[in-house]
Amino acid sequence: MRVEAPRRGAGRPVMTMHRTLLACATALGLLFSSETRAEPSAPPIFCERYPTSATCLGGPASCDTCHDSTEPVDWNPYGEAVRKALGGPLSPSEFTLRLDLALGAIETADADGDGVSNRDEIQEGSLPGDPTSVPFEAVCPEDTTGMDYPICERSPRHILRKIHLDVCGRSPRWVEMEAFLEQSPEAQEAALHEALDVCLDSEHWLGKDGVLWQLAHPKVRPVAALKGSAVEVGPVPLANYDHDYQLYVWSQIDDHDARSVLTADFGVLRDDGPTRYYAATDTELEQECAFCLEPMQVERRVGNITSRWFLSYFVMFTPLPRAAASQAYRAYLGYDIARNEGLFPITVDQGFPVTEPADHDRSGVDAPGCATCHSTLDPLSYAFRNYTGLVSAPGYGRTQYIPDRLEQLWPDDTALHATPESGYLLAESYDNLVEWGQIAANSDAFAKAAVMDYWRLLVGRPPTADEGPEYESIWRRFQGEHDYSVERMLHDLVDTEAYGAI
Amino acid sequence: MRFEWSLALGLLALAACTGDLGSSPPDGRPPPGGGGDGGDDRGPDPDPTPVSPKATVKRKTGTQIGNDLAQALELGSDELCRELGQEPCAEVHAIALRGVSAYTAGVFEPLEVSTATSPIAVDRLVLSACQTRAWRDFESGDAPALFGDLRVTEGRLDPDAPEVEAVITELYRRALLRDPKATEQMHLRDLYRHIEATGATAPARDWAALSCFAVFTTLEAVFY
Repeated sequence: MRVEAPRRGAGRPVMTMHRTLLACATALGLLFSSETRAEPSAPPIFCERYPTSATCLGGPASCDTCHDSTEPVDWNPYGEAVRKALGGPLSPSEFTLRLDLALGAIETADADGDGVSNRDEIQEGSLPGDPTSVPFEAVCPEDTTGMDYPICERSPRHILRKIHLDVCGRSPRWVEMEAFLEQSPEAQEAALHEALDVCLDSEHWLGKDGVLWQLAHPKVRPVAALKGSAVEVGPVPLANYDHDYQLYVWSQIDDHDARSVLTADFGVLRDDGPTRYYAATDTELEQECAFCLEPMQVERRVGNITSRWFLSYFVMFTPLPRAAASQAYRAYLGYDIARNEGLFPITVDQGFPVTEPADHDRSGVDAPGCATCHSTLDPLSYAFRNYTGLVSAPGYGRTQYIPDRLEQLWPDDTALHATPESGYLLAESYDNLVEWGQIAANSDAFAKAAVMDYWRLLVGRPPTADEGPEYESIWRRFQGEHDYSVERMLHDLVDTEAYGAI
Repeated sequence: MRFEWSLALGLLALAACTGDLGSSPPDGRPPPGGGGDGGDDRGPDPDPTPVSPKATVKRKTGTQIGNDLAQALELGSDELCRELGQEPCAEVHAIALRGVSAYTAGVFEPLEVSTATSPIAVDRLVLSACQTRAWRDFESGDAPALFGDLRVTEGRLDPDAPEVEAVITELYRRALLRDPKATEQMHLRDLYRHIEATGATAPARDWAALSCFAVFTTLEAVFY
């Protein structure tokens, strides 16, 4: 199957995303300025001022910190207070200089009148502009005698049940619990980690459609109708996304390097009963496809973000694959640009040699309302310039690297040809997607996002402000002592008070 | 989500104080059939429920509920509830039971809140498994797994008999990994009296299924 290159602008998903970004960017700009102008530096400055706050633990502050609505734009009392403190109208550099002071000037006030200061609300993770949102305050009972459960204390009995349910998928049996409770406290602690090790090899954890597989759903974003495996063929088979799941799961087990999901130049296959994952050759992988697209050149592979499924689905026919870049950013670094997260604007104002977005594809993304997010997104996307999705060129297949892809597929669009392959990720320059993958995999954002996935899975919610130091300790140890082994990291996680206290 | 946690935490904490989950009517009246403290004298109101600021309670998924039922009631996974006798209930009601439908519906992550049908789906799974166990122990002629020690005469049993106490204890150990409290023993015996009073033809078998249902649908069993 060979597909003609479509005319530029025909990609509806990209246009839809542009509208979303425009709305957020416009709202953000209007927040602090009397003009319709985006100010992308607001979330990072906010979180630089409140780095340990619950509001910023999971990433930059959300829109509702200051807004009642982003479309149409409306501000809550805290947003209004910030605007007033800023004064204005302001230039971008004036805004950058004044925002921190403005935040500081109103932090002891109580913008929403709920009796809690703005600073305390931000620190504890409630909304300073919403009077119905206040920090959760619960006090441990002074005396817990007579209770079946030691409320407010770490409970080994409770942790054993949780480990079994979370990782093995079932509660312990009575005989297992009885034997556990008969042990000394020291022996119980050791038994908890033994139970975790056993459960980490369970089918519930690592099997197809198991916990790890499900953790990959938002990263892979499968569509059954587009699946093209040897045994499951949708009406429009594009690729076998099981390969993406398998690399992801492989990277999370057996002390493998979790960064492989962004760095691997090999594929992974799976045997069932019992489940086993193993690195595979291209030929072996192709035996599992109904309509296998061409494999990526080995030296151009960047883990799951150059898989056949990823490029088929997220690049498709697009000249500048912003959807691919934003999905990679969201899935593996935890930043959703559509929510104004992870904005590192590449502009001269911010000290870079260029100002983005350059709008090489003339999509209008340099308009004031769009530039907020596209000053981050476009330099993030350039790395995908030569990675084709469903369009091929002479001498190359689909889902491959074509050195002059834009020139070959859109020969008449000379402005488009100026799109570079180099750009910026997390404000760090790269030359190509392989470097992009290395920067991403070695970033704090990757470690934070990986640990956050498991924190949310096991604890059941993001860390609170009180738990911030525990969370930071774990993702830093994940980078260092754990050597990016998820299983080692999980042994730390089940020891936390957040997981074990009842 | 926060509401769901708070509710579950509060109720679990209440259970921690009283050991009294799910077997009393919600208005505080004693259960029918002569149990409870009798009359209108309910004593002083209990202290406000302590809420732990540290614990986070999660609702079991359909898979976890199914696995626990299969393990505790010694049933095969293929013997658990099936809608129309065909599709596993835990899969049909996956989204209501904290599951996903990634491949066809684009639901990649579990919902943060329960749905209107979540409690019904839990009840459906549990009741089916408990009925299967009770029917099998009473009527199949196979070696009973849970209720075999009950002495049943013409479909009835003596709720005060020691073997009933032993069965209730075994049920709690299998479902909640602990022994029942005296009040919990009493509530399940009262449940039998209530069932018998309705004129049921096989009250012992019905009690076996419903006592199992009562324990496996407590917050303590459904949340962890």
